This record gives sequence, C-alpha cells and structure tokens, in this order.
Amino acid sequence: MYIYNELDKQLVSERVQQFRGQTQRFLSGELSEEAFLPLRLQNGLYVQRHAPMLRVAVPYGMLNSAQLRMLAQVSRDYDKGYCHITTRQNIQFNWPPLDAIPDLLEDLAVAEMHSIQTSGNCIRNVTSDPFAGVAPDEVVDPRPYCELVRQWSTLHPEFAFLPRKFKIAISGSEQDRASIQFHDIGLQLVERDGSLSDVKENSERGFKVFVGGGLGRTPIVASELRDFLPECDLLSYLCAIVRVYNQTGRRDNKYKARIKILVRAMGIEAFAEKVEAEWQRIKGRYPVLEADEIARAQAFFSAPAYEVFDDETVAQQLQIQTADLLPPSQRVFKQWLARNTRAHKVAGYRSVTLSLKPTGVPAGDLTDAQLLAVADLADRYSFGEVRTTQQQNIVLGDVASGDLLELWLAATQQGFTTANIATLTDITCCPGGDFCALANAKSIPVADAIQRRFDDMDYVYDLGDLSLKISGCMNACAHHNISHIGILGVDKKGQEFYQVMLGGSAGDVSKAAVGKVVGPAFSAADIPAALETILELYVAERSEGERFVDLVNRIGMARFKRVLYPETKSPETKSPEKKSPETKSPEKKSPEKKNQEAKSSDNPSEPKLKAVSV
Amino acid sequence: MNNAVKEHAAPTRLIKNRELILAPLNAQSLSDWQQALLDTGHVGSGVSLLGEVDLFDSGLLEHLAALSLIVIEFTVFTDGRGFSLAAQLRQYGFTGELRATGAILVDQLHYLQRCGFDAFELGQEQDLNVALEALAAFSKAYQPGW
Repeated sequence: MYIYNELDKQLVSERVQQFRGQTQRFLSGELSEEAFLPLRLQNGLYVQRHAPMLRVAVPYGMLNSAQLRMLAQVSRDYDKGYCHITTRQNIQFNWPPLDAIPDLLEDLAVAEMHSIQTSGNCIRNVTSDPFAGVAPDEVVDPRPYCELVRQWSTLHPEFAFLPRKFKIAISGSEQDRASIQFHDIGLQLVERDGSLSDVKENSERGFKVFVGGGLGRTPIVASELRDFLPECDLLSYLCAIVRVYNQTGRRDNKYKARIKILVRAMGIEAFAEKVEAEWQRIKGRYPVLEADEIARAQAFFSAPAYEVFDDETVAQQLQIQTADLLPPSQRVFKQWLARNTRAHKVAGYRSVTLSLKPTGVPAGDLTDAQLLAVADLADRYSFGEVRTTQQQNIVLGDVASGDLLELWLAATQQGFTTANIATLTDITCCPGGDFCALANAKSIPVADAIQRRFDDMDYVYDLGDLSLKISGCMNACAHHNISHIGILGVDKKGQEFYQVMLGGSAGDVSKAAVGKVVGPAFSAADIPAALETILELYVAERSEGERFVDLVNRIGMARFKRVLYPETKSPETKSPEKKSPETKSPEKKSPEKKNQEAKSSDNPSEPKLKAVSV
Repeated sequence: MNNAVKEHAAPTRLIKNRELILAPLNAQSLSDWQQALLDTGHVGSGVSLLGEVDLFDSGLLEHLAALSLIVIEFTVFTDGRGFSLAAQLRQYGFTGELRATGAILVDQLHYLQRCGFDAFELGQEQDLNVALEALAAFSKAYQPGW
C-alpha cells in the first residue's frame, strides 16, 4: 500500500488550506457561484437533491484499516453515520454541510486521504483491478503504475479545465476486471520479448494503450491507440494524449465533449497521428520514468508476509472445519466459499469479497459501525488492507484459507456474507433519483424489488455468473450498458420507466461489448416480471455451462423480444410473457408507443437512446 | 488564420513576478502581427492571441526568439486551451513575458503560472492580495508544468 511522503503530505495539506480559503470567500459572497463551481467540483463536492455530496478518492480502490476507521469517524462527525461505495471505487458522503467540508478534508488528510479531482473536468481518480497483486492470472501488478499516474495527474496544472471529465484505468491481467475499454484511456500492462534478444531477462514491460472508450449516453468500446508503449514513456505519452484532447476536443456541447467523440469524429488513425506528432515533440524534454522510480513505486506494493502453506493440507483442514458445522450452516458456508471467495496466486490463500448487497440495503452502503468492522476484519485476516470494487463490494485480498471459517462467522454478524457475488442479486446500482440531482428515475427501489423477487438462492446459483446493473439516467454511473442485463431509468412525461438492455460485457478484452436495448421500457412494477421472462428463456435455451451473456450473443435479441413483447402490433397491451406461477400479473402495463422502430442506441452516433421517446 | 484579438489596450493592473507592473509592454493582435511580417518582414516584439489558436498554424514558431511578449487571451475561464498553448510555447523555447489576460480567475493563477505564464492581467474587481496568495497556493508539485 502506498504511504505518503513529505511531498504528498504537504500538497494535500496545502490543497485543504486552498479550499478552506475558497469556501470562505464563497460563503462571504466574494466568490461567485459560477467561479466556485469548478473549484468545489475539483474537490469532490457536488450539490445534490438534499444536501452537498462529497466524493472521497480511493486511489485504485486501495484502503487500509486506519483509513477505514477515519471514514467511520467522518461519517459520524459530518454525516448521518454511513457512506456509499461508488462504481469508480470511491467513497461518497451524502449529507456533509458545506461549511464543514474543509474540516472534514483536514480530518481525512490525517489518514492520507483527500477528495482531489474526484469530480470536475479534469483527470479523475485512477481505477484498477480489485484483485491487483493477488490474482493468479496477473501478468504485472498495475498498482505501482496507478500510483505513478495518480501523482502525475494530481494537481496537473495543464489539465484542470479540460473539455470534460477524463478517466484512466489500468489493468495488469489478461482478464480485464477494470473495464479499461470503457475509459477515456485504458492501459493494459504487457510484457514482450526485447527487440534485440529473445532472452527472457530482456523482456520489456509496457502498455497496450486504448483510447476513447466510455459509457454514458454514447457508449463506445475504446480503440487501440498503441500496441506497445514502453513503461518508461508512460507519462510523456499520457501528456501528449491529454494535450491533444484539451486542444481539439469539442467545447460547444457538453454531451459531445468527451474524448470518445473526438476519436470517433477524427478516426483512430488521424487521432493517433496527432498524438504521435505531439509526443515526438515533447518526448525529448519530458522526464522519463526511470527504472529506479518504478522500483520505488513497486516497493510499496511488495507481497505481505505470507505464511508458507501447502494447498492440499489447507484444503483438508478446511474440509474438517466445515464438517464440524451443523448441516444448514455447512450448506451456507459452502455456498459462500464458492461465490464469495476466489483463487489467490499464493498457495493456501484466498481473496474474499464482502458482499454489500444484502436485500434491503442500498447497494454499496456501509454504516460507521460496519466500516469499523471491516477495518477489524482487515487487521485480523488480511494484512490490514482492503479494496473497493466497481461492483460496490469490498475485497479482503489476502486471507489464509485456515482463517476462512472464522472470518465467515465474524463477517456474518455484520451482514457481509450474502453469498451472491457475481450473481443476479449482486446488483450494481447508482444512488438514482433518491439522491442524485441528475437522475431521471429512482434506481434503489428497483434493485430492492429484484432482490426480493429473486430470493430463491438455488435458482440464483443455477443462473450462474450474471451481472445486473441499474442506472437512474443515461450518464450510466452503474455501468448498465456494459452489463449482461442492464436497466436504465428514463423519464417520460414525468413518469419513471425502465429500459432493459442485454448482452453488454466488459472483462474480456477481446469481447467487450455494449448492451442493446431489448425493446420498449417497462414500469418499475413490471421490471421483476420482465426479468423472470428473460431468465426463463435463458434457462430453457442454454446449453451445458453456457453463460447468460453467451446465450444472448448466440440466439440474438429477437428471441428475447418475442417473449417480452408477444403482441408486437399493439405495444399498448404488451406485457412480459407470464409463465411461472409466482409471477404476479402487474396491474398496469406501461410500455410506450411509437417505440417499435426503437433500437437506435445500437448506433453509437446517436447521442440519445431512442427506445423510449423521452 | 482569422484569429484576431482586439488591439490590446495597456492593462491597468498587471502582476508580473508577483509585482505590480505600472508600464507594461504592448502587443499586436496576431493578425496584425502576421500582416506586418508579410508586408515588411518586421517581426515586432509583442503578439496577442486567443488561447484556442493552433501554435503550428500561427507562424509564431520560427520567431519565438525574437519576441519579448506573448499575450494569451482567455475568452471563458473554463476553456483550458490556453494552458496547453502556454506550455507549448515554453517547451519551444519562448523565454519572454507570457501574459494571461481575459477571463481568468485568481484561483487559476497558480496553475497558469506553472504552465509557463509569468504575467497576469487582472480585472479591477479582482483582489490583488488574494491573487498574490493564490499564486503561492502550492509550494511543490508532482509533475513538470511544461
């Protein structure tokens, strides 16, 4: 885990002082609302429906137990005793009073945390793989590079007034758990043989560089900008990309201001040429990342003091421990082992995901007591560190298998062991209309209704790996458009409706895909039944071991349309096909008219989704 | 090359190297400068241009050594193109006065300075003490400014 040096401490402290002065000038009327806006945004401060919202940076998702305890204290002292994990691995507070924010930031700084550039038209917090450093399929640990990029981008004087926000993600595995192809810049760490020799020691480390990916109202899979960028050139190359974007990105329309629109308008070749020209111009003058600088960053993320275990012995011990449990507990524990723990690169260790998705709690919400409990669990079982995930859960990266039962018992008391990771009920959900000023519709109640409808865990397990994400507007904070099943809240004449998308996928670099709208939107009440219909078709049609998303790709959208909208000629009366006895007949069918041609979101040049005429 | 900026009136409040400058240099608009260069071959000493100007189309690059003042005007404070332009000018070896004018906030002065600006033209309503404080907001940096 990275530890602040004097430079970090001083910069964060000076930033707090700067913002304290700016806040005072704003509150005294000296600074206008308009002038204060970008300043507060670049300190993570939004004004929301009920109160200000403060977004705290969690660099690439890493937190230590001292930071968790500080977050607990802050949530008690300045908020209503809880916080929220975002889909970009950050932490949000929903109720802090504006005039107390500088004090809050000063408290956070004690635990080496800040809210710098968590919002605004600047380079945002760098995100990464929550299993970085522990995943068996990892080629290179991305965290040292994330930290170098964090430092380079933090308080960067040239890139604080970009056309629009700018997000960078770095992954070091073949499996992409950071959705790098849906970022403004996605970096995949790779190793290749040195050009002069095929001796392994000469292998060169670098990045495959993707650019122009994004979600929101125009979801686009990133294009490959460069096949191989040597690691020493990382910062000068990033500078060239962001400078080209800063100077040529659109500023006349905020919906067309992201780099994805620029890349698409220019074409990737022309964009690459422009970046290359700028890079060649600055490269010679720009400091390269020296090997010792990289080594210094890597030293912060060296392996903790793992004990030496034999996998087989450990597995036997776990079996014996499990056998001692009463049969019902045994069953639940085994399900938890299967769903909420995953393989670790070191023998005898597992990575454990604490589920923040029990039914009845908004996805990603944590109370102050739970934050303290996570800190204790981390100290006791995982070298004092945790990771936040894009799916709004928390990972204990390094748990000895011999501790799993004890951990499970302790975590169960806190409500962290719902065995639903990567299943239908592990729903990613934005704060939606309940909190967010941008939302067109609520999302939390929809997630809750789905969890309640699908409460038969055997059925949920039978469905296998499935991602379900719900966004309350097309800004897509929940990443609904890269989810196997995505739900998007839309507003139609003051009423909330929900579009359903199928087939989205991130995670596999070669198969990243944006989901497609299946048809006209449903009312909130109809969503659980529509999901049942979709999943029934999957269960009926799947072949052995076929995942939901693979089936969608195989049989196509038309099959799903047919079961969801059987009476295609009169959209007013269509409803989800009702087969299962427990499907309640919704009172009111609410599909839209004029939407049969719909589907225009398949065409990314359309800035608006048209499946619902909003 | 229609990047004309209004002729620069002498600024009343110019901060340079953290001091108030009473008799600042004047600059020609980019189009006048380009025309004069074309007509007379005379390079002149000061040019004023908008932050969105493409340096590589401006004709300035070959004459940076001869110029003693470049003024970059910001039309709206949220448009960050002038920050990159300043960084580019410094990278190409411009060592004269690099002045920011137009829509700039005192809270942007520190970043502007780090991008290579050394002079700032402020409006009458902007507090000079706050401006001087803002210039010194950070004592160190993670990255080169330009």
